[in-house]
Amino acid sequence: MLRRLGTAAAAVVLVALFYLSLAPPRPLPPLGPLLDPYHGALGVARSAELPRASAATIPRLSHPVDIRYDDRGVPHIFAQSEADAVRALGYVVARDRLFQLELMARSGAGTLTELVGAAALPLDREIRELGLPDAARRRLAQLADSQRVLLDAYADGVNAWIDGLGADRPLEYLLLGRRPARWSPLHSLNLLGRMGWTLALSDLEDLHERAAARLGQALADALYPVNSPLQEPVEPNGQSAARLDHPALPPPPATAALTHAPGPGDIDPGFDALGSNNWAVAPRRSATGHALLAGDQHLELNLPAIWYEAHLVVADSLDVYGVTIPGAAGIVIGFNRDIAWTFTNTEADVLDRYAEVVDEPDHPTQYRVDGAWRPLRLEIERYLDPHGRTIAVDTMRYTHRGPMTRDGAGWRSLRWTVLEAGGELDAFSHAARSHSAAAFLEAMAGYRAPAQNMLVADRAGTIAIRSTGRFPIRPAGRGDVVQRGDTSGSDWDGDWSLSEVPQSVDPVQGFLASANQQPIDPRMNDRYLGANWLAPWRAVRINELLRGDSAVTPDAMRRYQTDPVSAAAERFVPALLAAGHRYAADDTVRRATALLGEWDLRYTLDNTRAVLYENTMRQLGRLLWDELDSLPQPSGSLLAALLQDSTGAWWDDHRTPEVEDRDRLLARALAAGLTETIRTRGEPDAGGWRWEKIRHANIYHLLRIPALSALDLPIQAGQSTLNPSSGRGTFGPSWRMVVELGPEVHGWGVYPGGQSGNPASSRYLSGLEPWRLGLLDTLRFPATADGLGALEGSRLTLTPAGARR
Amino acid sequence: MIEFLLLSAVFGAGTIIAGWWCLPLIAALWCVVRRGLPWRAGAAAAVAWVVLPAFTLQWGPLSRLMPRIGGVLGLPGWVFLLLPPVYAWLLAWSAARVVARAPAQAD
Repeated sequence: MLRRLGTAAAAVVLVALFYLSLAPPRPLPPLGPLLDPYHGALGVARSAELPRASAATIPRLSHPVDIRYDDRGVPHIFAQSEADAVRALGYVVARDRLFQLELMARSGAGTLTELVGAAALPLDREIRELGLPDAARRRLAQLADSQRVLLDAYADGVNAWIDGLGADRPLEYLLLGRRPARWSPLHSLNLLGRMGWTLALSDLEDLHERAAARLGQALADALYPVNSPLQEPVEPNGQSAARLDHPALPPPPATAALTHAPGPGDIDPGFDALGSNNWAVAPRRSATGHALLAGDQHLELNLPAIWYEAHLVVADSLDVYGVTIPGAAGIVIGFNRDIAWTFTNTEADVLDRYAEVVDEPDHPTQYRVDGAWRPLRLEIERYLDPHGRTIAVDTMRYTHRGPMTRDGAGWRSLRWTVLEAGGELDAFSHAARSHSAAAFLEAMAGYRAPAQNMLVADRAGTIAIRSTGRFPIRPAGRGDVVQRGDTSGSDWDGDWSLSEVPQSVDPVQGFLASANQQPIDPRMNDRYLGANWLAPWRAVRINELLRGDSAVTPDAMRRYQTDPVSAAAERFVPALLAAGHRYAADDTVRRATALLGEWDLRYTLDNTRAVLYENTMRQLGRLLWDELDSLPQPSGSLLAALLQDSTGAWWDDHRTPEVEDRDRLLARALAAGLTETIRTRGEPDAGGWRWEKIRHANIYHLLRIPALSALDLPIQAGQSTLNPSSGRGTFGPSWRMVVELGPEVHGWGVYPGGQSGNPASSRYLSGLEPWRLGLLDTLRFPATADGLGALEGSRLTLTPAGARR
Repeated sequence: MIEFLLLSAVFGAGTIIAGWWCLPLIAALWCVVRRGLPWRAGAAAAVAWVVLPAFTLQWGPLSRLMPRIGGVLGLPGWVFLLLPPVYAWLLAWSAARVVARAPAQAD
């Protein structure tokens, strides 16, 4: 009897263990694969560090490839052909970032549910409703041979690594209970689409429509204007300082009743940190007499980072160092022996929405254009769970413009340059082999989306910038309003020609800079390029620094990247102080004014006054824009313009019986800011106001697992500074690079994270601390495979045939 | 003792070659063929899963991994070092115990 009970108990334990090992209830990971000390989580530690030497085979490799990792874990790939170099790139990226590769590709394909389950269904739906996977499939079918060869080669490399894994898996797969999917060229195209989603998706029409419905057309136009009131454009306009225009702002409607009082919690200016900076200095303004270039792309910060450093060398044709995005078959930003280049996002409006007339309100099959019905293209989109079971099915509809989705009672289609992209892969490939700035710009002529301010400098001393991409011309002139879909007269009327787009080569001022501001002064060219531009505070500050430094050094370029001064504060603080002095009879206002007056306008870690300014500005937004209800606040450059008008109707807070003027409202904002700061942070000098305790970078792991993330990192950064950080601290500079183009090219760079996606690796977080401190690593740029010398950390040999790894 | 060590080695080799699910198979097989005691199968599997990482892992990566994987599971990092041998013991013992035939074999 006892024995039978023991056997039964053992059977129960065995069944329970198998259940927990194979298909446990979520969120538990399958225990068997996880606890396996060789192939499981502990096995992750086994593959964390690069072996001193290793070898592997890759199908279709034409010649052996020699890869040397330097002391920072960067692979230097020496190959005999570009296709082989790209094969090797796919291999080394998969070796370090396999899970990220799949996650990013799936996020662009709208198939995240197949990896992480139904929780990702809303994200997948958004991607598919935007037509991104459909566009990638069409693009693959039309891909030029030259591009297809490289994407196939990249897939060979990734799949060779996957094939060699055996039972091993990166930690994330163990936690999810999944196995890596094989890579295909379509994944690379989905990744490009995903970057378009990040950089070029706008919803100006929705904003404008909501604003017009609440405030009227004229006010919507004025509050979210086509042109920035503060002008410091990418294409130099010949001015020696930023220009503040004074656009007419109609008074708010007297009947604009509030249904919802915006509070501090409603304001998340996080988008300020989603942008980028770049600038270049001509030899005559650099201390060394050589052209200098700097760039830092502000993106969502993740672990592992979005960038991966690599150096590709093909004898007599390619020698390029820089960063690639896992899944991209080449270097995106970097330098070769003659040029260096970097990008910022143009923020141009490259997406339009059309109100379509359809034949049937719920399940349309036709739409009308110019009085005639046209058939909709219908596509069935099926969403699968990790076990291949269907969890949702959607019917996607396409007009000749693009995907059409339901919007309230109607249907709207969109046209978006990202869905019609092409030529980018060839452009990057040719750009990496360019030997002059002019050749780089020529190579990039075929680049279409997402549009970028492409900055380049060369060893001959040329600096140049061009807003590169496809910029559509609208018959109606502007693209920030919903267009009529029932007429072909709404369709795009061609694109800006290359000679028309904002650009500059070797400007008189001796430097060039971009920071997502309106690229061209409307006084120079007023054709519509976008609307509701980000306030150009970063551009103003970069230009201030470069105008004031006629002997720029690479180290100065580095320091500028984390410059703690806010150009916005430089403009707003004097106005706040003046108003505070005027209303100093109020004790709180007087105290707040005195405290703010102690601020040096810098967001340094030990600063104890920046927090008061931040809270004051948040309170000012709440008080000033009370008529906007739940609409987003207008740009800070409009606020700067409004400051010129001391008695305008906008300064009145409709929620109070008195009629406020500018200074009264600014003083009230000061008092409210101080009250909020003391309430949340304590008394001014009790330690709670130190900036390092307030503003942190939060770099989450791709699966948002805190234990694999780097959180609460104090940084010298603030809203509108060149090192922007705001809101949740999840956005910021993702790759800082400085290049000096002397007789030999020297590069420095850092990104927040490390080359390896393996949490057990010393290369998982290796760049984080230098990034946080604003330091840059010296980038190794050996001319030969043996050029690293003592800095060589590991060696990998790839061969076309022979024994498996 | 030698048989115990050999059994541990078989568990270790099986894990490398086939993965975790070889533990119940080897334990059951050993119990049937060699008429071994289930608890000894469990102990040999646990020893194998302690020795295997000790031979294949370096302290540096392990020390970085432990707190992170512990954090993922909401446990102190060191607990994750204990879990694999406990799991191996339970898996091997329960499989061996289920197939054990004679009363003398039961522990």
